[in-house]
Amino acid sequence: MKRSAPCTDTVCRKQGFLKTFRKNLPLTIMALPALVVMFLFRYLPMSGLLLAFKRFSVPKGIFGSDWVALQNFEFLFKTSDAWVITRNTILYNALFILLDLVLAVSMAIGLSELLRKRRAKVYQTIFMAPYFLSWVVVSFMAFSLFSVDDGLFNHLLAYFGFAGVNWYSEPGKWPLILTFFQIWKTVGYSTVMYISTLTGISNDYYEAAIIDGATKWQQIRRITLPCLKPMMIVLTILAIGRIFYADFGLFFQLPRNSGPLYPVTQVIDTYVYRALKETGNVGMAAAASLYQSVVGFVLVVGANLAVRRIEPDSALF
Amino acid sequence: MKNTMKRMAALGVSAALAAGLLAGCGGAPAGGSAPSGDGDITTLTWYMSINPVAADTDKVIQALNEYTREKIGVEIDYKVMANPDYKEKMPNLINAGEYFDICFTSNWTTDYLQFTGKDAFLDITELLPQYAKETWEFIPEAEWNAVRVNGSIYGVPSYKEMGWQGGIVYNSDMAEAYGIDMSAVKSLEDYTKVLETVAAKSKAEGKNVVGVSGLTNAWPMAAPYESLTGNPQLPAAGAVPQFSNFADMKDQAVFNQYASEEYMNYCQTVRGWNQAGYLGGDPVNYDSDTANRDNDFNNGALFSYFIQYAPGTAESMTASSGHGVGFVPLMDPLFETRSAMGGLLAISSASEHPEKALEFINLLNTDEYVGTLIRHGIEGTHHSAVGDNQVDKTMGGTLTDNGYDYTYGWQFGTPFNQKWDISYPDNIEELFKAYNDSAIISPNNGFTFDAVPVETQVAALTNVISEYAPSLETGSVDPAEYIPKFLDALNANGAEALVAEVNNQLTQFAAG
Repeated sequence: MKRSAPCTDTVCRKQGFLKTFRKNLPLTIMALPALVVMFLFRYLPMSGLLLAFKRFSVPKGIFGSDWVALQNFEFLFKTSDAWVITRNTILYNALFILLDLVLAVSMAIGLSELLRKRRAKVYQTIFMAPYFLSWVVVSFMAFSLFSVDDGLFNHLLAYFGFAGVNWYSEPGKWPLILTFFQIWKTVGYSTVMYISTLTGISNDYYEAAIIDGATKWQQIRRITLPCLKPMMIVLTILAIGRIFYADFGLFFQLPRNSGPLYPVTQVIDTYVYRALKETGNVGMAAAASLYQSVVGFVLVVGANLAVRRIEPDSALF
Repeated sequence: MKNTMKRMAALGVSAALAAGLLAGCGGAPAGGSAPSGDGDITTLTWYMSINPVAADTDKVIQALNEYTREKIGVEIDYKVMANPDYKEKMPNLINAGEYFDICFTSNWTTDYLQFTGKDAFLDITELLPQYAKETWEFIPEAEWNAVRVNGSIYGVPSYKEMGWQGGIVYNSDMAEAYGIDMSAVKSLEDYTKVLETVAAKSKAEGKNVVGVSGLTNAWPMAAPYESLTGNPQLPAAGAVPQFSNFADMKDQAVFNQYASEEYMNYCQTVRGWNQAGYLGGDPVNYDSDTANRDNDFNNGALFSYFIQYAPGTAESMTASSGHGVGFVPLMDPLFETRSAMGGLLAISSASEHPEKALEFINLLNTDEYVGTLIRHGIEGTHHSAVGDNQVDKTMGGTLTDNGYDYTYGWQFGTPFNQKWDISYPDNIEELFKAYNDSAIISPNNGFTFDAVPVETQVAALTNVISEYAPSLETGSVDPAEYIPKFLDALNANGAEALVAEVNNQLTQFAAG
């Protein structure tokens, strides 16, 4: 079968829209179910964003409710905590992205280099396991460690003759605890992503390198890392797009909603939840979510732009 | 030729996929369509929240329908959910415009004021005297006034104990064994001595009994005030003269209760308890686990806890805990606007049969057969009658789970026109009456606050309060250091604007 020539811009324009359409009809129809799903569940609900600018009334519905302009957004910026919330959200997420990248890549390389084959699979499964636990479960596991009366740590401290620590009211310790649990929970998942890329690297490269007398370290630096780079960039750009969304389970469940910890655990998602759970204002909730989405969108485009500047081939779009 | 065949095949597959997808979407009709009257029988859709959903619910509703069909030509399409589910689902159903005639609403689930503000409920002020005359006359005027929003009534309140009374339930067997005279306890300060005794005597026995829990609810009981916003946590309180407290706020109609001397005193007292070890190591987490608390209380590992009391509670707790239970009130019952919002039945603003819905609510409140049926199930199947006014859910035996029983059925309407289980004292209705007669009616009963002008501030303040209040009110932190911080944070997030707005609306309320 002779494939028709790829349709470049100029060719298409010459052929006319109808002809191109007819030529690509099977492909278009094949894409149709996915497009319909996209439209129904991604684009259609976007009209609900109007809610962010309205005072919702049930009988009037989304479109008929009264406009209130930007009033719904005020609660995000008028609080004295606005700075703390933004700082916590961005810094924690930046730290998580960085640590996740470094640790997942090192673990992926380590697993595939040192053990290869079978045992690598066993370790991989072990690292992956926490990813499937819900944060509620993890919060109780943590509580069994940190509980003042019955916690493992306080029992250990008592055993060695130290005074117990009131873990849930000492904010200083929580950046570390939160980071630990977040990484413990997610790093296995990213590791698997990188391992799958690693298995795709042709062995020829390594064989050639070994013949040339390359050390293991040189192989990693010159072959493995460059091959992993596109994956690293894609995952990081995607993560940056979600930098303004904090993991609600991590920041709400793990500290057990403890007040004294707010300065280090309050993030935009928990703030919105605590602010609106009493009043249940849908307009304000929509406003918060729109704000997060817009910031995320700007950041993804920005990050991609930066990547394209430095290395056009690795850019996402 | 081969090419064409391939294209045809691809087309066919894609078309099949697309068709399958669309068929999947076309299934259920969007939204509920209104059930229409069938002959003379009207079907009412009733969304209800009750814990737990009893196994024999369908049987009971069937019996109910047989009765109501005859009596008022109504059948009920009963959609019941357990409280935690209802709290999550019902607001979404209403927001999505789902059809219903009657729904349960309150200030703790599917918020009455919030949805009234969203025009979800029907104004029944005019319809009430006509279609629910007995109920309209039977429920006291103070209750009706309390549920008014801008002068109009949007729901029928559950008429039960009027107001709330804070106090301490305690293990009376233990109190006796340790020689504690609970009748001497009149205030929080008096209780310190009791806790001291419990700690000392239990340690001597080699036990480690937690003295008291439930402190996250205790502050408004120690110094009762009127919650003008409907939320006792928000900093907008009004003094109730009968309690003669808040002397330092005397010249303000609305004040920030956290800035009062009473708050400092309360926090100092519980700080003392906390440091003396009467509260266990971590009172905030202890309070959040009520199942554990009940277990400890029943096993004698916990001496007492703070509760909002209703008549008969100590008696029914004695039955369930396996030891004597006593109650010390810290205040007289207080009836304020929010008290009437513990439970209401509202009618949808989109309901096609509001008159029939009201007639049905009227039956729930005034018909003893309907009230008893929905609370205790079918006679002979779920309970046996004892005398004229009582039922026995164990049917004279030791049956514990009979398939349908709501011990205290106030969520359905009023317990007064229902039969009581024999685990309650015979004179329970008199106890309720005495309680209601002793209730202090708050100075601004009937005032409902419209939070819309200060929604931004309320959102920020809610966060500040959940950051500071639980640890201060359980004595986990030093009040001398943290109360000033707390007040600064409140003021930085609009506490003054809130107080000013409440004051403003209160003046208008008093004027008109």
